[in-house]
Amino acid sequence: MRLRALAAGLATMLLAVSVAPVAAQGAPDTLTVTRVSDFPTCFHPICFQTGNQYMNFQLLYNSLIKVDTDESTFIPDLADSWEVSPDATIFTFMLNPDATWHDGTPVTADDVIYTAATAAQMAETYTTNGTYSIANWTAVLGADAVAGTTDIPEGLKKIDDHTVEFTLAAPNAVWLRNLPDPAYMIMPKHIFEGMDAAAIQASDFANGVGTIGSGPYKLVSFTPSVGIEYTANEAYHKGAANIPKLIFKLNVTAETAAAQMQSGELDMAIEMSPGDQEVLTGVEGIDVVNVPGLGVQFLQFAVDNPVVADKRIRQAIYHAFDRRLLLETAFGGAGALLWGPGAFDLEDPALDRYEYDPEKAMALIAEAVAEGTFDQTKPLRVIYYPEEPGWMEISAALQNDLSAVGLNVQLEPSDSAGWTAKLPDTTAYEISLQCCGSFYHPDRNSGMFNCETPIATMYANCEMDALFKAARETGDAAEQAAIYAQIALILNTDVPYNWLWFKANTNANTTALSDFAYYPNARESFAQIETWTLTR
Amino acid sequence: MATYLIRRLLIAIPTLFGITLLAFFALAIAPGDPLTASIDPDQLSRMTEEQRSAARQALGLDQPIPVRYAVWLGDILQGDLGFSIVNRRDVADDLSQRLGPTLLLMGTAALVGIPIGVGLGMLAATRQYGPADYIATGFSTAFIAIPGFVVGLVLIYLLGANLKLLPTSGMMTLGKGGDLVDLIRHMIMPVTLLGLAISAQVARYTRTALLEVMGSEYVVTARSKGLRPRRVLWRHGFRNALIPIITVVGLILPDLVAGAVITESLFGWPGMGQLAVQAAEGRDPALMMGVILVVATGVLIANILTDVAYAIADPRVRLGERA
Repeated sequence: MRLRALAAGLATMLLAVSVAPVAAQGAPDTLTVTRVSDFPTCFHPICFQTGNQYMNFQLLYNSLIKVDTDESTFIPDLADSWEVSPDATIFTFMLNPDATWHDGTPVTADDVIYTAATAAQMAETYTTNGTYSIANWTAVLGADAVAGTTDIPEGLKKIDDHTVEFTLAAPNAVWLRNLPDPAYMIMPKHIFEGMDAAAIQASDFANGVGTIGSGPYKLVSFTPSVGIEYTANEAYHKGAANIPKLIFKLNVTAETAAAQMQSGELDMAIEMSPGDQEVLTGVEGIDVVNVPGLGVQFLQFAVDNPVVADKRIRQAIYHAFDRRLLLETAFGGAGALLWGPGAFDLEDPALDRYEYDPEKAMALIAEAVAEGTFDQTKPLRVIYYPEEPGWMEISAALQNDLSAVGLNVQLEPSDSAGWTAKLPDTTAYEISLQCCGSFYHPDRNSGMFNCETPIATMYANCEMDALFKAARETGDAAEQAAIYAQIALILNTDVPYNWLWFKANTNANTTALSDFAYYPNARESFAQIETWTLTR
Repeated sequence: MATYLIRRLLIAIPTLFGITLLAFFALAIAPGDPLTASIDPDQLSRMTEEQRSAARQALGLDQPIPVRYAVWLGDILQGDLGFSIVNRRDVADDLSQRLGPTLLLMGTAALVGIPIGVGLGMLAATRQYGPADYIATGFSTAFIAIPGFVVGLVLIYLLGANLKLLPTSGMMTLGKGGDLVDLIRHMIMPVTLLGLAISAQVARYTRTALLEVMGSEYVVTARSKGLRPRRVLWRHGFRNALIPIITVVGLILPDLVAGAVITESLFGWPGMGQLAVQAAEGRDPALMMGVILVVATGVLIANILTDVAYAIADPRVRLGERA
């Protein structure tokens, strides 16, 4: 009797607790967002490694400039205006005089110089941390000379409290386009002055305690693996954000992101699984879109591996793999097919589109076999990790299609760390699946090649490296386009990679959100968050 | 009893040492290392061999495995659990933040699941071959056979996504300060999932053990002496069926600190299970060893508590005495 009463009481209590609908979690003044990825505890560019840090840095900090949603039009950020010398060597930025740090200290040219100088001084730490590239800072005249010191590169000049001049060691017409990257966000000198790299990384600031920036949102709290809370910066120099509070949820898995959108626990989810589009389409109160992205799915060859050293084999694989069919059937057409590196103009009729042609593939293979440059009995080992969205489908289809043309494919899945560990050892595999990068400009591909110390595919072509350098150094658009056309032809012929398609990003948001737009580089979508509106 | 406990605790020390040694070497020889796990593959592929070596040296990964283990052990003996490369924080901070939520989740699930399991098992045993037995046995078979992941997703989509009755993720609603009701609402689904799994196991063992005992001669004797059925069941039946039940409960106890990886991942519960997965995926030696140390300690304590429980339940068991 007593037990029954206890059970009844417990059931009543549980019912009472659960009756309140979850939708009430969507508070009218709070936007809850997520991106399905990890977030190491680090709020400083010196340990900036992940896409989620990318997004959160955009809330807290400012770059000198940003880009609009077309990924090419520059818009002011910390700098109101800027000038570029005709030879693309000198860049001058006029800072917004109203910009302040979250503690009220004015942002000045000293902060900009401090940020660029310390990155050059601590470049080795940035490299060993595996951070996003700081090539813009190390391209400044004198940056190499100050590495390991506390000196200021000679190419950094303070004109006045709100004007900074950068002089580069060599002309670089794409230098400006790289600046919106969070690796170049400006840090407060008055907080970090005098700290070495170790002190910066160990600081409360870098660990999410008392972190301040100049951006549209202030940090309220950071709970590792749970979430980050923000409140709007009322003194923001571009105007206070319309949405008073923002929560960035961490640790949301790909399997539960859609459910959290439906339950109202999330208002926006960026880079969800492609399959979630079907789940969320038609759900009341939710918009879900596929946005053409800047990340590329590609096959990376170990070009110095004898099995795939002959470019005819790489070309054969490109012809043998029906990537168009796979994109349509397995990914709902969410992507743009490629036959050359991302961001290049691929409409040149001189470029081979590598259409699906098993006959041509077999002919190329036969040629290589006849000349003794390819042993068809040797397996093509394909390394990947199954958790990466899309790689299960790509690996299975690749094995199927290549087997059909007589190639012996051996799939070797492992977890992410195991896969990454194999990458530098090009004797351990012939093909690796790869994704994504952010190819908003042809020059973004240049970092994948180095003829003097080959990296990635180990493809070494000094003529091509020189062309990339020449393209960076010319400010003439037509000349630059002609150079990139040459590079595209070289890569399209030698195919150290098989570029499959530009990935589309599946993003979802509450219909209560307006005055916003997704960027093709999804991680950049918070670039103009102060203009967003939440109506509920 | 006291002597026994002290001896068991002393024996636990070399046992812990052996466990950490095996775990450290297993992690060290797994493909990949913290460098490959923490650095974006794009960035890693653009680093030269010299830069990768410098990075490994900065992380202390250039030393031979035995040296790295000795360094780690030396730090542990000084109370320093080390630094997590993956999370970029002290391991002690990570563990202290995760242990509480795990104890709360698993403890609640155990408090719910074990009594329900025992009750169902007893019901099934006392109503053998009746409708109650079939229902209880069917329930326990189903929730042992069906993967927890599947049940969890059904709960999430039914109660969270479709009916919007309960939150599907986390310990509390971010930005709202968090109160007891909010915490309970977040706990309902994961506790239900874990409680079902625990009760299913316990119910099976309880039913089997009780059936065996209820058929014993002394129970038959007790019935034939005219004792009330309830007294026969509880005083003679259940008490003697306790040993296997204690065994299965003893196997559940270590999970109180180890957590439940799938449940925590599914419901975004910031516990030890998730931390263990992060450590393994990140090949993070300090973090992994910290987790193993805590879990191994939990297992050893659970074993000791189980032995003590045996002694309490069965007067024939004498701890520490030779046969």
